[in-house]
Amino acid sequence: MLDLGAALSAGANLVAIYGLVGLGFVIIYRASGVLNFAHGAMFALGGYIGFALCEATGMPMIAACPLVALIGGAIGWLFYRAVMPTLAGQPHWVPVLVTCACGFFILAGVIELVWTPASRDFLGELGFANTIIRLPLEIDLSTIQAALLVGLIVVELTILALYRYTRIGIQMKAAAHDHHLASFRGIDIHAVFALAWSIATAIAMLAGFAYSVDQRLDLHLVVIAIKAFPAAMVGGLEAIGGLILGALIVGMSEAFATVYIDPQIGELVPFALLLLILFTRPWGLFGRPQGALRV
Amino acid sequence: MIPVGLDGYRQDYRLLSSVRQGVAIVLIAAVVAWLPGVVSAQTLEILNRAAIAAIGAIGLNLLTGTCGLISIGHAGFLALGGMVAAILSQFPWLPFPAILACSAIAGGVVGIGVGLPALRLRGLYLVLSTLAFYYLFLYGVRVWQSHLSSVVALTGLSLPAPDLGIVQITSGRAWFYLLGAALAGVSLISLNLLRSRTGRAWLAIRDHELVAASMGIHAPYFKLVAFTISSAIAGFAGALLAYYNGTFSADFYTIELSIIYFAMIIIGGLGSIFGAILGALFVTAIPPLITAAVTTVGVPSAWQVAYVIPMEVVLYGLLIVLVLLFWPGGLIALWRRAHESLRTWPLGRAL
Repeated sequence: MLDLGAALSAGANLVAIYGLVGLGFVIIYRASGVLNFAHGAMFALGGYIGFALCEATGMPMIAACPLVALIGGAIGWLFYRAVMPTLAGQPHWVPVLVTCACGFFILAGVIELVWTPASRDFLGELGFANTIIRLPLEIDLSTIQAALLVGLIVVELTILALYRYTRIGIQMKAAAHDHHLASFRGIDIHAVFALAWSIATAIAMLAGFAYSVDQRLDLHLVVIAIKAFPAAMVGGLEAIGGLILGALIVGMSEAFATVYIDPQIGELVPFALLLLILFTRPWGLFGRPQGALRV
Repeated sequence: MIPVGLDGYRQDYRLLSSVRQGVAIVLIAAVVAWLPGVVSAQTLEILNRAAIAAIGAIGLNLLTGTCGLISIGHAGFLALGGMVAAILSQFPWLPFPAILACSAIAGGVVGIGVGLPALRLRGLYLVLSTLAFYYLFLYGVRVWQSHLSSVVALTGLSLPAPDLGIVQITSGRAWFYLLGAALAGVSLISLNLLRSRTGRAWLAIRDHELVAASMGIHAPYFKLVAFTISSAIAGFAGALLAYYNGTFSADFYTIELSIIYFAMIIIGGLGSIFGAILGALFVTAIPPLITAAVTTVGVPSAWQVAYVIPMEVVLYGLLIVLVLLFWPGGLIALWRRAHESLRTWPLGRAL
């Protein structure tokens, strides 16, 4: 029974992270048709910026959260405005390479330049309290992990509501569906896309901040975020509603394989699932087949 | 832009477009063969690494530049070639060329498997499937390596110097001629492919798959051929790389290495063999040039690790982004423009 508790708590943590990072992939892909490979580096950057804020001003973690989200939003907006409009009309692999270069080289390099590659321990260095909450079935979650899980559900519902009920959300849907038609109808599609990038980056950076406080802060965060690709694909790259289920499947399978079979096998599971879904249902469990054939 | 007119298929079939081009190639080959005598050992090292990179980049360029299939799993095939070479080099009775051939064959066979999703997936979905294959394979290699022995798990397998029977390849100079010959061979094979039915089919699939299919081109077959040949060349390059490094370790083949190879063909020029060679030379030469610049300026050695290496990484990224944003076509386009304005001087448009 101890194993089951360990697997479930590790899984819950992974589900929250894959869900929050994967949500960013989906929001950006839905809006602008770009797979953002720089998203993992944004996730890591959130941790580093939060760390710098807390260290410099001595503010509590809770106070740093909105600031990190704000900075994240600004960075996402700037990134879109600076790079993406120039790439309009280029083949679809150009944004892939540009975001790869920005994420794996420029952002990762800047992080190393400013903060050195050494691993940092938030809780030890800055002294935050992170008490363990014990749930039934011997699931142990730290406060932050629980907050991340709740955050995933809240953010997902907010985004769904945004798409359904607000003017800007409907504009986002329209721009994603057909950006020519949308711009004919007077929607400023670059503003809409920039907003999508901004929301996605803010979520990723906030999640990265919380995760690095909970675990540790170094560049392994970039790799963690790559494993959110499978979660987004299993749910459906264009289906925001399917994301939580995708994250649940991928995160829990990884955690169970890690605990019950072998930690190294656990690392493989997300990518094996990604291949499986690509071979069988490339549009994901909740997507529509047209989506996969569009690009 | 002055159209490049072909007066018939015969011109398309020819290996060289003019006698002048043939003379130019012979001259370039002569200069290259004379290089090891004059350049320093460090420069020779850069040239050797660039030659290996060029072979790998040509392989990727056939797949991405010519056939339009994107793969960011290229480092996985390099690792596969290196792994096969590292295992087979433990048997001293196996000749070096046979080991290289085995690496290439292994690359080709695995390439068929990795290419299978390409029959169904397009664009970004294909990128993700190559990414998944890359991670699966590299994790597999890492597990395999960690089970060998504790020393091997840390430092990797070591490979002996290649033995060609008559000569042992140990000096930088010997390596230079070996790699030069290999690069020339791979370039010739690729050129021949490009001017054959296969190459034309790839171009047609890249430009418009539906039209290609309606012209009677069996797209799935040619896509698989592209994957097979590209990964066979990558396996070959990976074996050479492992021999050149003298060791094989899974940690060397990062996802960044894949992106660097992609950057080579973008910076050099998509779809061109000469472009892939130029791009490989350019990208390989950047880090040593930065290091040389830093040494000339005189930076404290403590800064070397903390600032110079991350700066190199940032510069790489900036270069890729800037080329993509402002310089589509890469180095080869620049070369062609310069050539064209020279040919039409003084009436042609300026650069």
